[in-house]
Amino acid sequence: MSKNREIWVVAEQRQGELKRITLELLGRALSLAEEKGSQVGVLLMGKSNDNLCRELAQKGADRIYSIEGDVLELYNPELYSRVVAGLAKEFEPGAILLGATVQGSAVSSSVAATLRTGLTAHCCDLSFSEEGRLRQVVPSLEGYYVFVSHSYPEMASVSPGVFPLLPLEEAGKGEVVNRELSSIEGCLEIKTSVLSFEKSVKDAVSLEDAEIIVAGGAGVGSAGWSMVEDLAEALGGVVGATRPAVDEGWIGHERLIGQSGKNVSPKLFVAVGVSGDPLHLSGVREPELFFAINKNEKAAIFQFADYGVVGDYRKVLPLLIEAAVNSR
Amino acid sequence: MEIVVCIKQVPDPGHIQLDPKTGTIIRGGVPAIINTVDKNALEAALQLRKINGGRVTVVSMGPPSTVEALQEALALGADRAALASDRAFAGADTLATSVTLAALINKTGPFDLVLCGYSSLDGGTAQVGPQTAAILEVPFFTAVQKMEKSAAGIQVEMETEEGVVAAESSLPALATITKGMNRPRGIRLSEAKKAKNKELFTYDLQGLGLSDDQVGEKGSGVCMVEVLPLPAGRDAEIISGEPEEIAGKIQGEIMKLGLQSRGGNK
Ligand SMILES: Cc1cc2nc3c(=O)[nH]c(=O)nc-3n(C[C@H](O)[C@H](O)[C@H](O)COP(=O)(O)OP(=O)(O)OC[C@H]3O[C@@H](n4cnc5c(N)ncnc54)[C@H](O)[C@@H]3O)c2cc1C
Ligand SMILES: Cc1cc2nc3c(=O)[nH]c(=O)nc-3n(C[C@H](O)[C@H](O)[C@H](O)COP(=O)(O)OP(=O)(O)OC[C@H]3O[C@@H](n4cnc5c(N)ncnc54)[C@H](O)[C@@H]3O)c2cc1C
Repeated sequence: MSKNREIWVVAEQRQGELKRITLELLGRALSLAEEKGSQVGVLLMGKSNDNLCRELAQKGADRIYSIEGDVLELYNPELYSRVVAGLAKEFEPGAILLGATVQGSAVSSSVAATLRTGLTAHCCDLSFSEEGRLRQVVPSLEGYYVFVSHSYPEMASVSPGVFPLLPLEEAGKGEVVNRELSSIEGCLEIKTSVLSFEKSVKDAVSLEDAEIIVAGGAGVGSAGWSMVEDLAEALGGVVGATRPAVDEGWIGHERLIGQSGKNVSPKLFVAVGVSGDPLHLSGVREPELFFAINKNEKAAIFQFADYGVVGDYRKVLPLLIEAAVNSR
Repeated sequence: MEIVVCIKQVPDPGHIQLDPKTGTIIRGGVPAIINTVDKNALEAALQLRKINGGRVTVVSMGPPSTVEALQEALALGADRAALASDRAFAGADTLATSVTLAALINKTGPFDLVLCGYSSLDGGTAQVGPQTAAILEVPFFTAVQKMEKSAAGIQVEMETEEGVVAAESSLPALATITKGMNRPRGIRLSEAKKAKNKELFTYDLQGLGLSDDQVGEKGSGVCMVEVLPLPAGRDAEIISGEPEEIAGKIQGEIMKLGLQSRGGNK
């Protein structure tokens, strides 16, 4: 029935740059569409979209739905949701994929409720079943839950870092479909205005790109947190964290690794004071070398690491930092 | 200001255990708590009430035992409470949950502001707030860390991965709150004493004017069809010895990887 309906990706851009998650989703959408004999549409909202339309076409999008306007420059949850829902009603895609980011989860939720269709959060895999239903896989404590939707469009938000980036395809000849904001249902009656955007300081290397990650957990505590940062720096890597560490405010939410945060694929992963919960480890994808330091010899993390140290991290980390600095 | 706060009762994460044989969550006997960030939402509501006057209503969907969570919220200072409880609500996904909550909120009367937590400690989808807003057809904000009443209605700061977005909308509106917003108060004896005399309404399916194909498992947009096993681990080799030896061994293994450090950054 929906065999040939498009698979959509809702793009996220900031200040004229596509976010990495959008390209990750595009790559997966292209392979899913190929499997199904359908096409990929990317929905792009922004102030002026020419450059990004070209980039998306080059990267293989079959159709780019471009909606431009000054009011679309900054993320406006109500307006963005109206645009996506309005276009989805008009073009009836078979599936809509978004990033499991603050913006993607807000917009996907609003759109799914407006369309009264199902939505799965924080997917770590997507594939089609034999019957052609989108299998939406989500990590949980007891294993990976597989959800399917009862209706179309099938909607899912995907955790950043799950799907690899595709190399640039130069051959793309995607078509651009321009739509006026005023022609989209409900977009003239928006009650939200965005006042300002204050950019936070950006890290040189993002978690998704990092080859070396030192992740700190609840066992570190606020007093010792700087040791985790020092070790990361000494190794030339970046800091990641578990949910308790983020909730306690020891580090920003953008450093969360796991089901509700990012997925990472470093070469070296060092877990400090981390118990080894599946909802954290589901975000740690096949590191070549995995160390765990935990004072509890029964901690689950030791089942997953290559090497474990049983003991208080405060005894081991200072020496490890020193060794790393000395071998630079 | 008429403020509604959605609170979810969740199993205390510290007490969740897996059945060692089957690897499934043991559902019985786990103490229930108010989803922690919902207390930040309640605190935000109580502070808005203090400045602007009005009333705070707490609402929840859940089994009958959810009244305990609502009673706790009343003891913390909410003015009244309403519970949606019916066997038909069981097995709800976020869509069916939001349809039920929206009906419950409408049942409590006209409102200016609905507050939710950003996400729950168990399902954790962060979908219920924005979905409830869509069904109520009101503007919404998520991951709000700062909020105040303004001439136009409500002004907020939303946390995003790249930075903070400040925005404003008219009322009624809905916002989901993060932990950075405030520090929730504890129960004060004087408030707790008043709680007994506060109203706590309970509605079932009929009471909310919903039909059974809109709620619970039947009204859900997704269903779980399978649980795949977690991957097997690598079973760590435990390194022991003096801290110096341990550090040396680890550093040695790291060197073998032959990584090029990409320049440190914290
Ligand atoms: C591991 C796991 C994954 C799941 N994934 C999905 C999925 O992808 N899609 C899906 O549709 N369902 C999913 N579910 C089911 C979902 O958890 C339930 O539908 C649940 O009733 C509401 O969602 P939530 O806990 O994710 O709420 P969230 O959206 O995380 O909750 C945010 C806020 O909404 C309010 N709220 C939520 N529930 C209630 C309530 N019952 N009463 C009052 N206020 C409430 C609270 O203020 C809360 O802080 C999942 C469940 C589990 C256990
Ligand atoms: C729907 C849902 C989504 C979730 N998403 C995520 C997610 O994306 N990411 C995430 O991380 N979590 C997530 N969680 C939470 C997850 O279930 C765990 O609660 C969390 O990962 C545990 O973090 P932790 O290992 O830091 O803390 P804990 O489990 O408390 O472990 C702390 C560890 O530190 C050790 N320790 C204590 N002191 C020391 C010391 N001095 N030296 C050495 N070791 C010490 C202890 O032995 C213990 O093993 C999610 C949960 C749910 C329900």
